[in-house]
Amino acid sequence: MVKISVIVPVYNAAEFLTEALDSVLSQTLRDIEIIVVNDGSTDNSNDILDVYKRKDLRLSVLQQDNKGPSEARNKGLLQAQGEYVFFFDSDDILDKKALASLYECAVYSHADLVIGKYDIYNGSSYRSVNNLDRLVKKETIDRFDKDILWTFSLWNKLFKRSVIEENRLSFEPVSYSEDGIFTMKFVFYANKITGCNKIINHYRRMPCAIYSSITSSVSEWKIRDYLTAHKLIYLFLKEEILNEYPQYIDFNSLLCNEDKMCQYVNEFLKKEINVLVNQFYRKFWTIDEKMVECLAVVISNLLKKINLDTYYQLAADMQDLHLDNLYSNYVEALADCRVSVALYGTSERADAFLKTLRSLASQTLVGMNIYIPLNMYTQVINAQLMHKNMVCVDCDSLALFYQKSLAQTKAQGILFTNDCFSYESGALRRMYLNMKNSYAEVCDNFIYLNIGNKAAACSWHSKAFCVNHRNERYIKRNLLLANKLIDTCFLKKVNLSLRGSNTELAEEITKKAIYIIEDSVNVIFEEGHSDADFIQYLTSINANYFQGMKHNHNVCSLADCRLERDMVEVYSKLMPSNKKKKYFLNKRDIIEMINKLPVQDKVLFYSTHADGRMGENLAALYKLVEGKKIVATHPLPHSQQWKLCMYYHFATSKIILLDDNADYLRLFPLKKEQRVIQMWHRCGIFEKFGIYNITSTEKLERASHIQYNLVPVSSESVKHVYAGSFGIDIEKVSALGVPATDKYFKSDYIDKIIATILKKYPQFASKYIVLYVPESEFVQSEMKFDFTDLSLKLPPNMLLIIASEKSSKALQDKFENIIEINDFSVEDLMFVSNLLVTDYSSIIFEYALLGKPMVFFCSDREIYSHNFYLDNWKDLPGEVFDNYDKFINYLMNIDRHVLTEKYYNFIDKYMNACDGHSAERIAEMINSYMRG
Amino acid sequence: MSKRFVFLSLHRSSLKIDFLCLKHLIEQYNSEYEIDIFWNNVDVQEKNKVLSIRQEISVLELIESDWIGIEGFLAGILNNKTVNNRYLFLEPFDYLFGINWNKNSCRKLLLGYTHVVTFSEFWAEQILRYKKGQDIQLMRNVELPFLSSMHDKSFVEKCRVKLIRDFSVLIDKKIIYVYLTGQCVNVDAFDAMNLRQVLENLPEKCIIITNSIYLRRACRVLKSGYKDKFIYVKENDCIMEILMMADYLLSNDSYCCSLFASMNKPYAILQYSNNYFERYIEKKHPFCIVKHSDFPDLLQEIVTDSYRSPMIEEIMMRGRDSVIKKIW
Repeated sequence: MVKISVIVPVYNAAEFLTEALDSVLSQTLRDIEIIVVNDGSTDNSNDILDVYKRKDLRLSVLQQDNKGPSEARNKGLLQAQGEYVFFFDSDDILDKKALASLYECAVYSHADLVIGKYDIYNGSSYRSVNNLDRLVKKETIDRFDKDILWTFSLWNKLFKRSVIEENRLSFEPVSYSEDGIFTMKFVFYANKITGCNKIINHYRRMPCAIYSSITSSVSEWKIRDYLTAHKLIYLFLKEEILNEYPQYIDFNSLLCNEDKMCQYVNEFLKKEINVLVNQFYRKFWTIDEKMVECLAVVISNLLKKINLDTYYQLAADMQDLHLDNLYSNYVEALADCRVSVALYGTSERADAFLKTLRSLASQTLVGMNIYIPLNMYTQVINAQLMHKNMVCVDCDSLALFYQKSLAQTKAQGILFTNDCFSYESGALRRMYLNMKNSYAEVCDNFIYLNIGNKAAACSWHSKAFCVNHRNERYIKRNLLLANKLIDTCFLKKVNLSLRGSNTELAEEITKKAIYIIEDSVNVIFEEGHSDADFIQYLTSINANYFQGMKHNHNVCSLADCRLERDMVEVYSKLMPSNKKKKYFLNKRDIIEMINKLPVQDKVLFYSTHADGRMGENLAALYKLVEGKKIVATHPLPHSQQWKLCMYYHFATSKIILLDDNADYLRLFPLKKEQRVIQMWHRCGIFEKFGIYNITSTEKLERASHIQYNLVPVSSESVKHVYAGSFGIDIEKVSALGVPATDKYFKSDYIDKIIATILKKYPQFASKYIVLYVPESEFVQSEMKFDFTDLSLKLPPNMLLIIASEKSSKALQDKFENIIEINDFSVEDLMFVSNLLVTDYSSIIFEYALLGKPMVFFCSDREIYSHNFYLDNWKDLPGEVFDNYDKFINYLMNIDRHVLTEKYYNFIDKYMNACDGHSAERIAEMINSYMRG
Repeated sequence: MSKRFVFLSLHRSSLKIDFLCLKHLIEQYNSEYEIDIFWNNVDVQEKNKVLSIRQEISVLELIESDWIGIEGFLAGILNNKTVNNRYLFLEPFDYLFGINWNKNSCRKLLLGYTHVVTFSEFWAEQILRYKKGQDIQLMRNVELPFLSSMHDKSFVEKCRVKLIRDFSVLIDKKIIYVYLTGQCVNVDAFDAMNLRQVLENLPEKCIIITNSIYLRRACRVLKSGYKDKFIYVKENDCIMEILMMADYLLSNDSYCCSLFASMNKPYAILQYSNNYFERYIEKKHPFCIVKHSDFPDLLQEIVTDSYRSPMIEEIMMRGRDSVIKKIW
């Protein structure tokens, strides 16, 4: 008997099917069968299944006409032969060790049901879900555990097949919550339930943070199916609870006397109300009025059944609704509007207008109406977006439109917006609640950018909220209206006039309103993808304030006031040493004495490499920096004498250049004229570092970095990572390039290195060189890299060079076309190679500058999401393989070794500031600062 | 002439109701004003993510603006070069009751301020006794902004309408407000209480409003139909409106008790979380504090007017002068 039968219903899932099936077939637990039930797909799912069927004998495909997932799973169950059954969805991704972990837990605990964890995968990154943490840590889970009620899904559970068969369990023919009925029944039939504290499934939720609820529609049958399913579950639970407590004949008296059961039933009802409200009722304006009434009645009836404690738990989560008096028709909702939105647009930009309107129409705030210009009526009707909460206002100009909307509204808050913005589905609800609960008159929100339908914070805008203009008039907030929910009473009370432009209104509001600022509401700027686009927009709407503000351009002088240290912050974060007397004076007194010495015109090059040499970045600058230079390259740990010497140089050098952490910086504040430049020893962004990879404590880490004045980096898009990792202002991070990369642009240097290598290895000259740089230490065992086989398969003119950055020896035998080289550095070997093969080495950034192709052979793709900033392996500048055969196939076919679009995107994203002149640029800044 | 104010409250424990009332009073007095309000963000330290109060304040220092603080200590934030007036509203906040009064503690309390506005004669005397040598102006006999706002019928009506809009069940009801702070200290305080009996014994016209999550938890034995006798309000939501409209108060919070004492409304001090205020009252006025376990009896006594609300000088605010006239 196979250990696990995996049942996968498939219906038009071609887009993600390959990825899903790959994740099942690559499970570490090999003794499984996969039963795919094609539920009458009309796309090319069937073709994909045919390919997989031929590829792996463990996979079988069953066909049926479209009958829904319940029928498909039942069909799969009939066929299943495994000891356990696992239900998997055709668009999710299974963790590589998922089935092994579940099976191990099941066997270890003799459990009939194992419940594991899952996370949410949006196509590029994973977001953990913590609501099951408590449950999955339990070795034995009580069948009446309230937490089970919140995990009806099948794809994080392993079911014992014998229990299913003995109790003739099958899926009910409902289209919604059918998994809930099955799971709950199984829970009560199972002899033992256990938890598995591992991520099992990566539940795919498309990268539609912005427009998530637009696609999920509500239909009458969906609601009815949900109610039917829950009715069935409730009746079943009632029966089981009565069986558990046979001393009670009446269910109500049982609940009155058994506190645990009372709470359990209340939790069940709470969940049901939650789903009914959040998944159905909140789509108020898009569902039929009769259905609205029906929903209101059903929810009200359920609310009567729950206890007072549960009622107020729900009420606290749904403060925007009157749970006592839910709107049962559109008129009631319109009469009690909480928020009005005045959306201005013109027919020339109809598409943009409809996009914004669509985002507003999908808001989860029920008490909301939308004012639109009358001249957009036809377009809105044609786009089938006209809902009962939309009101047309007849006017030509923007100011008049806003004015009329304000005059008409009876809502508590109003949002003035236009077609350049869109709103995440929960945005208006959160804005309203934030305003309501804080007595604020304006709820101001950060702006996000729409990058591939994913909301990314506009770093410049968030910076604008905390910018420090020491010599300019302080203006509280920006002059944009689209991100502000404003109290209508306040607007009317202070008699603000809506004049010529919306920025004038915003300016008046800023003087008098109580503000709150939120960064949790996604207000998305749709007219560009970068901070610069947003600033351009603000300038175009005559937001003069922004013209006066300095944009976060790279600094070009070390005297720039943006690089100055904020001494209040430095003092609060420094960690001076204890006043412990060690010699004749305590350490802190010595440092304080040294720190009183004046600053001298000298540049300190501080490096702590184990080999005692200066880092490449510093070495590249050393040649170009003029004047007095002090080189301090003692490896750690430092002796007492050397420490004293270092205190002196840190306290008296005008410029301090570092390429790694310098603990001296956390002990005492540097003087105002001193500048610290952190030339970090890596380029691009790879492994997490600084505050995000703490080796000591966060406080120590922050103290070490707080005094940096400038951090040159390799591109604009990595600036925020460095700023976050060091806990410094983003203005102190500049895309000036990385000096160590300059050599990759110098052909004479490259030729010289190639000549040196060829002199020793003349056979390289006529060969196609593949440079293999494995980072993983388990090359042989984990990756199943069979060098004997590889040697036979390599084309005759191809030579594979293994150059591991690790000292471990990868090659055990000798081969003609595979050699391991240790007498040249990886950097040098890069110049003679034609193709780079690696798993996750950071040299990809430097190699990318050479304009040569790369390929990735990764056994564990997840590593990119857990340990590295490169959280999306799809971003890697070459093809990625986790299958040895496919990889060999690629390697043999030299025509496939080309630079793809991914490669150019990678360069543009991570290395665009490296142009071969980085050292000159930075050295010139240093020299000019030294000259005064 | 336009005048600019910075309102500052750095502690989560402050209710900040007086800022809202003060703003309302300023609006009525003169429409030419500008306001910056900072509250509850002293803990904000993350760079590049959220506002840094220090950064903002360092900018505001340069602006012609008067500063008004509630329970906020300016010493660590403002430098002494700031020329503007800096008022400390000496409300009866919890911390006042925990201070070991002497010259040093008084200096620490007032550091950074140019004026102290006192609403109670007891605290005015206390400051006068210990502020010796400090160049700080004492403003006495000032009416608390909240109490001034209570004279404005339209403001009170607006608050009533807002409260009724959210809780229509309150119409024509006598409101008993049970406001508790430091709840996590005493999580099972109400578990053994028979809340069904408590609510059934409550007169028809009375309703309890509470912010206590644990009092709410004790309601799990009751059906949701009891919501016309019991309302739970999350954290400090609608607190200003409730304090304005409530008829009775049971609380362990010094500020709320002070308001009710000053408005001559019935109130009782509950011993619940052992905060500074409770400890002070227990020590100085041991007969004026009631144990939380006596909550059901106390409730009955207070609604039948058989409980005599304590008269404690420390929480009586009898000032009558307009705060606006004093600071404008």
